[in-house]
Amino acid sequence: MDKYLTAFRLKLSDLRAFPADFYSGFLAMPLQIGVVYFFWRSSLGASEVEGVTAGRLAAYFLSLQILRVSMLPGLVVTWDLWQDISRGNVTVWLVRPIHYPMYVFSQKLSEFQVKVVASVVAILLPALVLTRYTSLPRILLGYVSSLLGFAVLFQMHFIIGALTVFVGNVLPLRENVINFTTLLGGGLLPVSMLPGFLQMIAAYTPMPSIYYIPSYILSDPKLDYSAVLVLLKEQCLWVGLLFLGVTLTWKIALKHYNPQGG
Amino acid sequence: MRLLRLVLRYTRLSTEDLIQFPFGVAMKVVDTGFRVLFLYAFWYSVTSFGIAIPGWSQPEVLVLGGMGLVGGSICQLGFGFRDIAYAVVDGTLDVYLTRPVHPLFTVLAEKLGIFWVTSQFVSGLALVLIAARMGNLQLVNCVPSLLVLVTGCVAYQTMYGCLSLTSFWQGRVSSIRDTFFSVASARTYPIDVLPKSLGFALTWVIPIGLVATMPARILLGKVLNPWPVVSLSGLLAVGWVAVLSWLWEKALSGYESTGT
Repeated sequence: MDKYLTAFRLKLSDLRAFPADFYSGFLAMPLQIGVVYFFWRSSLGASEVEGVTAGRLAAYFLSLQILRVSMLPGLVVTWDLWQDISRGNVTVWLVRPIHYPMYVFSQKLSEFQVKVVASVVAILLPALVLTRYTSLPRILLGYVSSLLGFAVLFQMHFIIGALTVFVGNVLPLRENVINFTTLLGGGLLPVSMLPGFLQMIAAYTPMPSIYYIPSYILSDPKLDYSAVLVLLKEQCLWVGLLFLGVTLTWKIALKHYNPQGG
Repeated sequence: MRLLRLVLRYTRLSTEDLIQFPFGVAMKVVDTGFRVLFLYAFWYSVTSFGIAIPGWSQPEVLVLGGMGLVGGSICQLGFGFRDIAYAVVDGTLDVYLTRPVHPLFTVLAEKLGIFWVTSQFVSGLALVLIAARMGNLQLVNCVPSLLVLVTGCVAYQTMYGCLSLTSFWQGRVSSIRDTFFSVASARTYPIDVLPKSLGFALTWVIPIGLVATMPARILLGKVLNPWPVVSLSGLLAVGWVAVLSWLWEKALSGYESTGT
């Protein structure tokens, strides 16, 4: 376990090497959320359409944007794996006494943790508590949910990255998985606002577990705790299924992997 | 003439590179389909909720979406600006500096994704033409609309390039740059429904409004005299190109090669 914690800490040191880039990444959020809020306010006014208000949508998109920025390291894993497998660099890690997927996860989780904690403390907590869209327990539940969401995202993209062994260039495939995640995972609009057939498809995919469920928990004041628990269970189910997927894919990929010498 | 020959050669290289990966081409076609589907799903969901966008009918929103895609196609020509920051940090910039062609041109040409340029242009144009069949377009405004779109895209991409060039001083800038420019998602929305100050900022400070909303409004005849907008947009583009050029000279004068 120590080696994974070291990988976690090393990534934190790497982030500290470029502090201006890291912290300034959050500066654009107020502008992005401003655009979304004012668009919906001009469309909805002060009215409520089927439970949707401009304020609630702004709170949803604020949570979503924070999660998108924080979860970016989970998306990069496909690129990293594609590079490592294509160039043969992965061999260097395979001969060491570590479990490669776990090693990569430790690194990415470290980056995610720093970003999500920084943004929750600096942006989400004051914004949502002041607007009474959430409470501290809900934020904590949202944090747990976002951790599970990150695990789902990471595992999905690790599986795609591992497919490099079979397909070669997996990046276009990754783009489409990101598209699916945007469409069915609440990136475009909250899933509950999508057409019925898309909602039905989304229910059978892990996509809503990534961004939609955590954003929903963080931003919907009407959501009760029993409903939150059901959503967390759904996320845990996908984490478990994808864990099996990662284990199986990695095992098969290694059998077909031809080391290039690294 | 030499530049044109180089552009043609890089275009051919990009096409040949594309042909090598049939699976990749298939995925890219699906990706293009998604971009159109996003527009459909977003506006269909919004309108089926009974939400009206002030000043924009359904076919007009289609024109906005189409112009957004055509704008995306033109902006794609400057995609290489993204990689300049990486080249500076990992030292591969030195490779470009040794060639007898302007390094910025080489980076842009090497990263030219001919598929994205073409596919977004075709799908965007198709949407605009579908809307044209509904009789909403003022074809006489095609020229000013196109001029605003092109100059807006030039301003937007060179601004992006300027931020990339700050990597000469700041090192890694991808996070701030990408997050800052993620406001480009505002392209989905008609900028003119936002409060005036925010709409102004998103048109003339970060020129997102010039790569979708403004060209669409001109094409739809919603701007009575489009020529002042064309002039301002042109000036903005020239201004940002000048800033980019100045930054490049400044950056190179203090640049120390890593010997890569």
